Amino acid sequence: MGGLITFRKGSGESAEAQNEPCLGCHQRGIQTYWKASPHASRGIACVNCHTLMEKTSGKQLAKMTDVTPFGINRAEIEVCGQCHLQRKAQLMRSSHMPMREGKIVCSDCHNPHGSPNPAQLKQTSVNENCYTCHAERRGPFLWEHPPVLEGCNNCHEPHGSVNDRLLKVTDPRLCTQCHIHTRHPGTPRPLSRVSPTVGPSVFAFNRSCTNCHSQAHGSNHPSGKFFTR
Amino acid sequence: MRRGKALLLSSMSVTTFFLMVTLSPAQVDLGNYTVSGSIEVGGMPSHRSGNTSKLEEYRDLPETVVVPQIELFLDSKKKDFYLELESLKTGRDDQSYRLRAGRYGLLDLEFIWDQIPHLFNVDNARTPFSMNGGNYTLSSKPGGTTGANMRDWVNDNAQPVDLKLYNGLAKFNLRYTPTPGWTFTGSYGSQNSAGGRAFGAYFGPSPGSYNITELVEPLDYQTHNIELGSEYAGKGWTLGLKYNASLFHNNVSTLTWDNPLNTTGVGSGCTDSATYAAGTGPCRGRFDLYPSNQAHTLTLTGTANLPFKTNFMSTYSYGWRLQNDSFLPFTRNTCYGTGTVPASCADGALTALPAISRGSLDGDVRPTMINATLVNNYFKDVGLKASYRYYDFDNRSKRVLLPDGIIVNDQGAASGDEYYSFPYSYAKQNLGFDASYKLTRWLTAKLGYGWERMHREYARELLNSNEHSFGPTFDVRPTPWTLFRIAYKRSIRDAHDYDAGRNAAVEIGETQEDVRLSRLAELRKFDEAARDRDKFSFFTQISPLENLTLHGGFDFTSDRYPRTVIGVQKDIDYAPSLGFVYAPLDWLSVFGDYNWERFDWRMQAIARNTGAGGCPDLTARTAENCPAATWRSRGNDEIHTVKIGTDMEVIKNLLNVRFQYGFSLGSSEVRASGNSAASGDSGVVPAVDYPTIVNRWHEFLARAEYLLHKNISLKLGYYFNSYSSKDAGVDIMKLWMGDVETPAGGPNFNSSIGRSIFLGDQGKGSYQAHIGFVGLKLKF
Repeated sequence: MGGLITFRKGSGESAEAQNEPCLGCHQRGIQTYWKASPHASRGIACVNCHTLMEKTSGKQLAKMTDVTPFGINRAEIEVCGQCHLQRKAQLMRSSHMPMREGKIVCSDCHNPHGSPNPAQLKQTSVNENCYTCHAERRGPFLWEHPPVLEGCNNCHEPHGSVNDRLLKVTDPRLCTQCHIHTRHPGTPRPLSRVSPTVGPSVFAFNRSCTNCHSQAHGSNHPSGKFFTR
Repeated sequence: MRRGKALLLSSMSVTTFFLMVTLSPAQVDLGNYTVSGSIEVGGMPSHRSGNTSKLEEYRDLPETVVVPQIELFLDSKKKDFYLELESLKTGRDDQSYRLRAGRYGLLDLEFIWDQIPHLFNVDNARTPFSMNGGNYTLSSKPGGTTGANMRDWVNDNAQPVDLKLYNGLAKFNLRYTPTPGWTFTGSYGSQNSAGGRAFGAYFGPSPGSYNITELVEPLDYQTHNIELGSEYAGKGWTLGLKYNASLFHNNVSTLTWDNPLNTTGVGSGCTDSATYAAGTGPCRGRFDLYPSNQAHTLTLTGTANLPFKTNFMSTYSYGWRLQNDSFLPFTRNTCYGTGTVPASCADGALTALPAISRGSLDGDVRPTMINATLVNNYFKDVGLKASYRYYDFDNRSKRVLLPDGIIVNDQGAASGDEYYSFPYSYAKQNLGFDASYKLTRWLTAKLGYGWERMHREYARELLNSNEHSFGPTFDVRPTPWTLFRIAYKRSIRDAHDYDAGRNAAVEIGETQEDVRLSRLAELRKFDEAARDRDKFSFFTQISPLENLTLHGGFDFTSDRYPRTVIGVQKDIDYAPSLGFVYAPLDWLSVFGDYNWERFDWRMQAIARNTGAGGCPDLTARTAENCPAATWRSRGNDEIHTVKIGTDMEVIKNLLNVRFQYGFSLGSSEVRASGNSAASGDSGVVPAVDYPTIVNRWHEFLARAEYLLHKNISLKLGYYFNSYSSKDAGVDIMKLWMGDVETPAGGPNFNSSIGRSIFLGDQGKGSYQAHIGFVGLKLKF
């Protein structure tokens, strides 16, 4: 390796040089794809996220997990949040996964050391990732809803949303972005009283479309073609 | 009183604990082993107001004695063996435990137990149903079928019900490394989710008369996950094989519920009829909840170091997704079938049940993933990467023919359409090339190109699409303490063979042209439509001083759908962020982050009613020939997020203090305009704006740790959390919605809503909580 390597912040040492000693042992298992990972190509050093000499958290992360009786601020979220500023902010949305409560961390879905999958996901598709906790939605079903099969993220923003149920767009507009071809979805529906005779509509309030089409993720009922059984 | 008791109990516990621990040694020697760790115990008095479901959405904040954390470390003096135990929130609903033990470099064993509560509403949901597993019954029915009858009955009979889930996860992991080359891994996990959440159900036809009955969906899921793997690392190569199994079982696979609007009787006294109307129709309905299923996956991963500083990585995975639950009958309504009319049916004759070609789906999906990646660093300062990925979602489930159609919502004759279920499949190929060059000591430039080809089977509108992405990335490090990362990517997706009539294969009674027209030829669904995407990101981190780091970023994504007339036309996301970490003194550090995000979208739609003049009717209608019925909607979500705080070592090695404040203000606006009476349609409801959704969230945390003795700390904490929400779509919810739906005489008066019942839960209720903590932490 030729000479001493310093890991101090701002030392000017290249990430490749700093990583070389680590990769001597840690280049298999979850680190198999490190050299092909976006983090490696962006010059991220192992010591940007991990510490060497000091025990901090379970994964030797460069931040401490902060445990209080009120909540748990996981070290991992702080480490990833150093660069992924938008994602870190999204965790504070009203509709969120239990990440700010310390129950889920980034590496439950992503492998920051690289993976052969999009967005460094641990599983082979977005949906497979979601099925690790939501196995009930895996199906297959008699009546499938194709956009659901292609990607949960067609409708949901898993990092946090201002809309209920992590929806990307508020209901019923989320559904009417595609379902405007026939009968009730094509008619604009009010959500509040707009005149003495026109008031809020069941197509818009509460769970809007899923007030009736509650099986929108897929149905195995012979009468469930319209996701109402 | 409750708070007083909690405080007394807390004080006594803390005092006892304190007296006990002051006599404890700071570290325990056990022969060849040393034991160290910590335990924290305290009380949490609190004052809270409002709807606290959201406060404890994923956590348990009790007004009693709590044990926030226990840590135990056992190390051998020879440093060859370790054992770690960590417990968080012992005994509470959100408790977790982690036990890890092993021998360095040889064996690692880990056991995890984690509980995650998920509260939707425990304050104000109510239901008139008696719930027993998946069987929901009513002990009475409304005295009549008017909205007023329904209102009086539901208000008299509905009882409080909690909408919440508990997730319990147990996991055991093993890693064994008998030689430097071999690694064996295994894990077993068991996850149970149990509870209930709101769930919509309805009887009757739509359009037409119907009644919605919002229920508590019963959940009792059990999932077993098994993973076995081995990997061998040779000189310059590795090979690994892994097997995963996920076995999901739904312990409540059906939900049967009484129809409150069949007023012929209660329980066995109720008589069915196949014709739905207020007061008659099916006595009960039945849902098929998520069926039990299994997934098995084999994954083979290999790497090799090739000549010329080239690394090769490849993964092949093949899976089985299986589901074969028996189909339920089309309906539980006893007025369907053949032969003698049973006493439970009020009809003069039975209505024929439609045919179905199979008794179960024999669901079988075979996902395949192949990846091959090459990375080359042969040339100085040049990095090259090429990758290919193929993902095939091969759905081999059997096609199910329903030649007579289906029974919709337990009533009416079978729908006239013939249906064929379609086991939808797709495949995706990705090819990517990246080349980076270190132009100077401080500047690295990268150019990337990606191609994605998506192939869908013909149940969707688009068979094939190609998306080409390209763009540069620059990493600029003018000094060792300054970093700028700038990236831009342009992606263009075609959708040349988009055909709104492609779904002809699903409903075999229709022609492709019929479907194209009924589905609106101008509609482009956003996930399939031609799209131009511009993605820009900027990140900077500057550390002008050893004790000061400034960071900032800007993420921007713009999706435009250039050939979309009806559907989503654009969505744009902007997210600038700023932050800093500053430690001006040895004992003081401050930090802060601010993020603003805005997401804009715009869509166009068309009302397709029967006109009395002006516009062509229904299927002949387009945005061009009927601008009066065309309506537009645009929306934006805007969120401000702030987090600031400080850590202070007020008295060196004696007193540490942290103050932290977080704030999030989110709003969601939906604007709409268009659809005027000029279309000639009857009962036109113009598109109007929705009331803006606003939610505010504040969190303030102050905590101090004071070292009373060499191994005992006093911990004090104060936590303030408030949340307020304004969402017209939820805030108006109550058990009976008859008086908020379109009033009688209005163009879309719907008496069905006056006969519907809801849980009346406000999932996003406002609250305010002040919570304290007084405790002791013992280190040993």
